[in-house]
Amino acid sequence: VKDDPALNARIRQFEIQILPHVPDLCRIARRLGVTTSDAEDLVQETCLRAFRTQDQLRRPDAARTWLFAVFRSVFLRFATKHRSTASASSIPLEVLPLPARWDDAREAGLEWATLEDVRAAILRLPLVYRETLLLAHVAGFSYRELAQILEVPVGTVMSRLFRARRLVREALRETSPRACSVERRR
Amino acid sequence: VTCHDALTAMDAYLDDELTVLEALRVQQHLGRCASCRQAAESEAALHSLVAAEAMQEAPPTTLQERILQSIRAETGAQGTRPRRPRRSIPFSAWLPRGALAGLLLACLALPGTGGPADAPFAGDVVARHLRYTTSATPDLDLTTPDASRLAGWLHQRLGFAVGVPPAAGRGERLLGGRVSTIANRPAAYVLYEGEGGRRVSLFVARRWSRAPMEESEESIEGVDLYTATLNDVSLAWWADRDRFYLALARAGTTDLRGLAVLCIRQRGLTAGAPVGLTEAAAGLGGGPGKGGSGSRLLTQVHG
Repeated sequence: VKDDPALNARIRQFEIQILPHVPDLCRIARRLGVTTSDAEDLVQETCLRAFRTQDQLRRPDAARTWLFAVFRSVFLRFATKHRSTASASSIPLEVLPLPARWDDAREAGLEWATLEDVRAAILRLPLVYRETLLLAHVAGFSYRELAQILEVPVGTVMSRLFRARRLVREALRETSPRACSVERRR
Repeated sequence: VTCHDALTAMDAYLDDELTVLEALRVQQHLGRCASCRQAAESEAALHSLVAAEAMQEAPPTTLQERILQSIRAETGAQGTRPRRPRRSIPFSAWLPRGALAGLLLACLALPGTGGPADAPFAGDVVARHLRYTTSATPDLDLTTPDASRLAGWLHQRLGFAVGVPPAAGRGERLLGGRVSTIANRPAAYVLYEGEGGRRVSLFVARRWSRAPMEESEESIEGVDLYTATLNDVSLAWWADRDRFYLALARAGTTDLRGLAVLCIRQRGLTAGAPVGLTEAAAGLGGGPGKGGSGSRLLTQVHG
């Protein structure tokens, strides 16, 4: 067992910079559709990789963005290996057209939605939209940070977020009593 | 700003991606257009639902320790239990007495008033305060009266600990918080609401700068407190250890001094602080505009 001051300092730095983000990594991993056990494994592998490559982190204030980029890399490798989860890169970006009218996607009223409905709607999203939505809402990244993590232009981040939210709203609308009553009237 | 402009910018507006000026223009439009306001409220509800749903997931509390153990095993490092992140701040990192006064006074000027146009962050935070608090449903990422939960949530997102008093200076109740910015730096935003819908905002960021020495108006338990009024909004700010605090309200600065006392006392207390803080809040009931010098405040706190 080593009592190496430099190594201990490195571990202490890891505790400060990386460990506080473990809960959000877990939440995102779970909502990406993996089991609890796989989510924990993915997060652990992410953190170990982050520790091994800690010297690549030039700016401490960018630790969170960098860590989630590492996580995404670990997750995509897992997703490719386990074909149960589609690889984000395999999903075409333009699977959904932008709405002709903004009103279509922004009808008022979500009072019927339960969190279970929301969870189901998120889990039904294509992975490319789901990961963007989760990184924005759960991890709270800005468009610029999302662009860095996802390795896409900011405009692509914005269109993915827009489509993800539209899909969630449409899924919620399908589960709403109002939608059901409309269906019945027809 | 037309309806089309406002709706096109809606996601960026709700995601806090617009400049302050753009956000204010959208907000101004929402104030006079019921249709767009309804769309904005619906969209904001969707944002909140998505965030709230994912936050329901409770990660295992032992995972962080397991990860540390793996690292120790891999590196052969010594240590049986994780050390907590060191929070002590080197003396040299402290701002000199009154330093923030210069910083803030320099920054209070908005563009066009002769102040430094590249640092109008007081105007920025006032605009954010108005934006977050103007609508009936405040623009928050997490709505909760639970100070501990909000503090944990903010810590996870910002990467630094934020002490959240469970009530503001006059006992205003905690509504919730969100991630925001001060001068383009990540900041916690905490919102309180009192009787009559009176709202008090608190921004907390990592301290970041030094500035010329100036005398402060008062000192609370060794922490210099500064106050000002900008566009009918009262501001109070102070730096305590490695944090910079900025409180805003439409009420007088007395309320903000009370909140400053709570924040300053909170860092000096250990577990069980919320009870003492709530009691302190109840005892700091000076009304808006009553003046209230620092010494009077200290008398109330210590009396």
